[in-house]
Amino acid sequence: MSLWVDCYRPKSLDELHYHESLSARLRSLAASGDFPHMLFYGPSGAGKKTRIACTLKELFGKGVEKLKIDQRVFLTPSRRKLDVNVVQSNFHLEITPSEVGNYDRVVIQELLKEIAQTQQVDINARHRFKVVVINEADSLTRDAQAALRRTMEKYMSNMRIILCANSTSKLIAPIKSRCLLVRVAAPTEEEMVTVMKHVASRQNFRIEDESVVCEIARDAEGNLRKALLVFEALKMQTGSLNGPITIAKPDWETYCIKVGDMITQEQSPQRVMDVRTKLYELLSHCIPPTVILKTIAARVVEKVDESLKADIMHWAAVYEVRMRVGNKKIFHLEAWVVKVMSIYKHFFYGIDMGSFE
Amino acid sequence: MAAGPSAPGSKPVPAAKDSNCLAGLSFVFTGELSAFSREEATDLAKRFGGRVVSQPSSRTDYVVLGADAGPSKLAAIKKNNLKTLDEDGFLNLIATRVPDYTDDKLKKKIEKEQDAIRAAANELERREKEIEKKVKGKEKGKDQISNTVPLGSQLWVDRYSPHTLKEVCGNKGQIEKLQQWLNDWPSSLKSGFKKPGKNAMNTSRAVLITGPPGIGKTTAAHLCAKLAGFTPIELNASDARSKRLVENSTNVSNTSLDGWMHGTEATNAAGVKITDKSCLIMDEVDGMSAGDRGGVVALVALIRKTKIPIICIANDRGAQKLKPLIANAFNLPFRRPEAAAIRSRLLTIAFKEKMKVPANVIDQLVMGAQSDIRQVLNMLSTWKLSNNAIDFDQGKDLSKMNEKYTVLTPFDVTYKMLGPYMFSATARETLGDKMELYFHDPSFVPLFMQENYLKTQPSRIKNDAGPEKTLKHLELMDKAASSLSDGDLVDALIHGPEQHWSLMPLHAVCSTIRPASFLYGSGGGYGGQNPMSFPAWLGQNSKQSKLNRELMDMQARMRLKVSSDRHELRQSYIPALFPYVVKPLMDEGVSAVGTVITRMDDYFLNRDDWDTLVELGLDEYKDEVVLKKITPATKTGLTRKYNAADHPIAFHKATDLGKVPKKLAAQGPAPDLEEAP
Amino acid sequence: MAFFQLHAPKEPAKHTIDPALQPWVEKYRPKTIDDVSAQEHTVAVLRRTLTSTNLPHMLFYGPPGTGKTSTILALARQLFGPDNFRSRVLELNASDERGISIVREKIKDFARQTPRAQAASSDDKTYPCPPYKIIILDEADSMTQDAQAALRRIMENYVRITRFCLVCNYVTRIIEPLASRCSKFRFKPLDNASTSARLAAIASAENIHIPDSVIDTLINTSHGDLRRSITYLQSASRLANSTDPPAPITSADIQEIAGVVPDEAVQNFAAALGIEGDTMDVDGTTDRRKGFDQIQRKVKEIVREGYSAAQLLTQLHDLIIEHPTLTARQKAQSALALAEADKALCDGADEELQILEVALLVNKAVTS
Repeated sequence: MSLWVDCYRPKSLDELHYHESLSARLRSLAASGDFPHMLFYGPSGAGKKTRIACTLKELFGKGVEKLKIDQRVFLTPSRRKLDVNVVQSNFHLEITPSEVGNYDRVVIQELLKEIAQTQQVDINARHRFKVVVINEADSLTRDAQAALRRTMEKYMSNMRIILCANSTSKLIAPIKSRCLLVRVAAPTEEEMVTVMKHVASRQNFRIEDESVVCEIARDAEGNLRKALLVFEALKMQTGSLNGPITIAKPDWETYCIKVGDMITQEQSPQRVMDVRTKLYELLSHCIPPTVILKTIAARVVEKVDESLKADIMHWAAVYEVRMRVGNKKIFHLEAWVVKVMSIYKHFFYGIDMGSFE
Repeated sequence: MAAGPSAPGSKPVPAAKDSNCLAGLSFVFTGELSAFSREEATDLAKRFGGRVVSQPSSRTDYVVLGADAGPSKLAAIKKNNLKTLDEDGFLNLIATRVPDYTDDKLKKKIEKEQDAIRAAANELERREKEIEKKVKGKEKGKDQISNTVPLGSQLWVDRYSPHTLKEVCGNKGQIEKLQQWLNDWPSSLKSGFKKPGKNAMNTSRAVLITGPPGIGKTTAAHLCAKLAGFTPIELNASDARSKRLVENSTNVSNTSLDGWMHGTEATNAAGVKITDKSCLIMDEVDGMSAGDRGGVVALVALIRKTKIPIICIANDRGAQKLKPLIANAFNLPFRRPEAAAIRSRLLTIAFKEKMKVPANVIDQLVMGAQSDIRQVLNMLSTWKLSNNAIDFDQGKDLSKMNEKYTVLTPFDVTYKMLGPYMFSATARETLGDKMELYFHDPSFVPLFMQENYLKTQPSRIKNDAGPEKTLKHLELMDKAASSLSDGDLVDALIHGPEQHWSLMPLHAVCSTIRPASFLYGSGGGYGGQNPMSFPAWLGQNSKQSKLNRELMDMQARMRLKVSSDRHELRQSYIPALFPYVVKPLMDEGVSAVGTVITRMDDYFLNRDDWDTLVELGLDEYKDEVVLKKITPATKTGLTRKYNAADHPIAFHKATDLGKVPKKLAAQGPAPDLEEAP
Repeated sequence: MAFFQLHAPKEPAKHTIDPALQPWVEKYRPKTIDDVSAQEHTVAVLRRTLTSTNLPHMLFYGPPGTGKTSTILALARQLFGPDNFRSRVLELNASDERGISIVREKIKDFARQTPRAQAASSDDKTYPCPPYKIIILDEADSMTQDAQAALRRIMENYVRITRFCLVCNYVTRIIEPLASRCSKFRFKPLDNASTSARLAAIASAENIHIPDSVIDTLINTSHGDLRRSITYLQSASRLANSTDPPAPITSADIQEIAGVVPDEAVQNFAAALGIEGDTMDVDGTTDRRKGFDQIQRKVKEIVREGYSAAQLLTQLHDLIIEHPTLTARQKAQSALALAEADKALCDGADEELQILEVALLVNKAVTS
């Protein structure tokens, strides 16, 4: 028995619960002979990949559900071996080039060239082209994007590319202009409630207390995947989903909140070093630095005076960029922590001394 | 703590009445003077002929007291009833004092010293003449082309190399031991190296002399051998010394007497004659390098069988490749001789060369060269080319110029950088000098700085108190931390695709010098509560990449079921899966194994992934916490049960293909559960 | 695999592209320099070179989609004709490898070849076919400094037989020694009249009907970038044609395709930051100051909609700059915040944090 979120994932465009006009558009695009390159973008958990899968099914039929994983080996110019996992069916394949970091250009070039030069063998196939789905397209390096741009024009005849990204800001303009942009906005709270109700009915139970579901939806902040996971966890814990509930936060989030509290409780060199240990812990357990920073910042901002909030977020924004540009994330995280402590302490004493005078 | 003088350079150094005005006096400096740094003050005392010692004793003439004098020194002053001076008093002393040349004791002492020097110089002179005569005689008599060079054109180092044991500076005890061992050699050989003898040395067939360069190791070995009647055969780094060559060339192992028995002059591969009275000196054994494969091992084998004494010489006793040698030879560590021991020898030579070199200059040079006699002689001979006299300041410059360059460890650099002196107002280090420190190890120093910059009590705020101190401290920390952050950005440019190596100096400033300039002070390496530590970044970073790799593997396996990327996987799925695949084992133990495995098969997770999943947990899901609650029996139960059955596998890694796959890759998104009980 | 390769032609794309699928940008690329829209000055100069057949090294610069590449391609075609085009023209753009090694090998090799004799033209037209080759370096500003430096001598040494045409967006990114060897041509952003004329021509050639309002939207969303507006038009018509019967193209379609944030959403967001619409009251400064939480909530909301942050900020920028009542100072401060955020986004910063940063700063600026 899989988790509900995987069990009840819609398999075709008709089963999708929200963004109906988008579904209709995708359906008609798939039906027309002229299928363009596409770029799906939108926040995490909004349903981009689900929609891509549904579109593929609409294009090629049930065959796309027969998936297998292949591990391919590529050689970099410096003769390093790269392992890349390729998920594929007879009609499409899916890669995540960010797995290989800076060598993504090699993978993109080699793999796409290879696909473009093979013809569809299946005579029953509905289309002559294969579809390549590129995940996490926004983390493609500039080089890889430049390589992609050329490929998209050159091999239009037997290949279509579907890019999947959280945002289009990091994609170069030539790529955006070659794709049909498809924005998948996060579902509204009502829409999420609908989906949860649907899951409940498939699971054969009734939601008695609607406020609980609404609470879950609000907490998920537009991430349907998160909402469903929480929904299932709560159902498993409480059984009935009634009455006041507390939504358990995932382990890393609780940990971040603790760090946030450490910062507001005490401001000293020793405390900075304690925080550093915790930050290392978070980083080494594969929590992305940006998520760490944002979660801690959110907690700190909750706790401090209104007049400090803007400042703290300002520095969070500043150091977040630095983390992206720099190599050693901890340096920037720590610089932010020290900055916040300094701001906080100054404010604290500012009030104190003001009242004495 | 010492933060440097408050008014540097505010007082001029008075013109002294006599250039040697402090002669015969000994000084102790304590505390911080207001116009001079400690270093400058001690230099002053030395320049005018005074002696500077670190601890006050009854024989100390003056104690120069500054602010914040050390309590133990104050106690000693009281105890010994010493005269104390403040800064002005000290300067006054320089300005007014004329050394009491009439003092008999002093006079006698000086005279005695000079006599000794003169005598030694005469002795040298005499010997040189003798040699010259001999050479001349030889040339006349045999009309042979002599390979002896006229003394005038010899290097000082050769010309004045010791000819008697007495002339070797320092290490007297060790040299005696060596001599004793060589003298006892024939009897030890006869007894089969069973009798330890006086120094417990006679059981060894070889000795290993270790010590820093230029302190007379080779000279001592040669002299001892000659004195004991052996002919030294020297093999040094210029000779190839591989295993084969060591075995062949020294020929000592089988029949050392071959050549002698045959009566002809049998020479070995190295072209050196071997007799029973030979002594093998293996110089620079730590130089037996990559080209000399097996050299040390062969040498050890040789030592085990040798019938002639072998003396090995090396610089670094701790070197890894000397390990076997140390076990098989008697160790004679040579130390740097005291400056005083070298002084008279050097003074003699200077006198002989008709150079005017005051004793305090010699001391300075010896200290600068770290007691390397060879180096000092070379320095003097070079100086002699242009000048016949040398004064204190020139000597200081000279020794500075010839300063030995040592590579500091990142620990040392961090101590220095964050210590209270580097940035104090009287510190003489320029920005360039500080950068030099960074360049001792540019990849590690910044990491050390980041690890340790918060461990000091900054000197900048030592005069503040209360909230103001706290606030200022936080401000300094903030500046330092943001500078470190800048440093990382620069580092990214240096190691990025464009490789701007020219930014290294900027990196030095941002990553090391600027942070230190804010937070330098005592603490850390200077007796604070938090000792300096090794950067945690390295370990944490490798842990992160390891877990990241495992997470990626896991995501690849779960891909057929789960659409999320690896970040979402970590952030949402792992906490969600935890109650299904780990929690039951914690709560129910072995009975839950079956359901857990079913759940794992759903997501194509294998036993290793289970470990990863646990390892990735944080807070209350942290692996230590979790594993404590799972009994070993449950864990082995899981492993056994998992291994007992076949499981759906999403795909095979390319690296696994060597093994026979248990099962074909699962086709389709839904694995066949019946096959995986 | 091997089986397919046998049959797969070397460059499958070249032969099998279906004219219906061909990008309109390629399909309607100007055939002669006289077809180039709205660059009268440049075209006039180049036309003279056609008759004299003497060409300097050239540097074309200007914003994207203004016809730089089209112009040089058309010019080359007119000079050499289709038969000699391949042997006389080398075109390299950013997606090709252009490191220093390529400059040293490929470009240099081509540059020093003696031009081949003129092939007989197959279409009965005579072309001037001057005795030199042309190397077109598209997007030259993305070449590394080293590669540009390596070009210097090549440009001089082989000037007799090879002419260079550098095409770039930002002339400042071309190193000075290179720029000084070229005659510069600036390409202006297209004016609305030429754009709409061109779009209308394409629409009629493709047999689709587009109302004027759609053309206006196209022009507004593409900021004088003709290529972009043509691409949008093609996407829109593709979408429209995919339904049965074909739906008319609407302005909303264009906005969605262009990834533009709807005006309404931008205005809504701006209002949340304290920027009122045109009818803003002057004295109500105090109550326009929004609390942190309020702004944060609004930012989260707009992030959930999935709009591109860069796009949102660009549109917010336009709205602020063109705002009738904000003071110059307020605009300047807002612009500063926007500029920094744009740079941060280029470096890959988190979108939510940057939007929040801008929102807070703009709010502070307009309420102070």
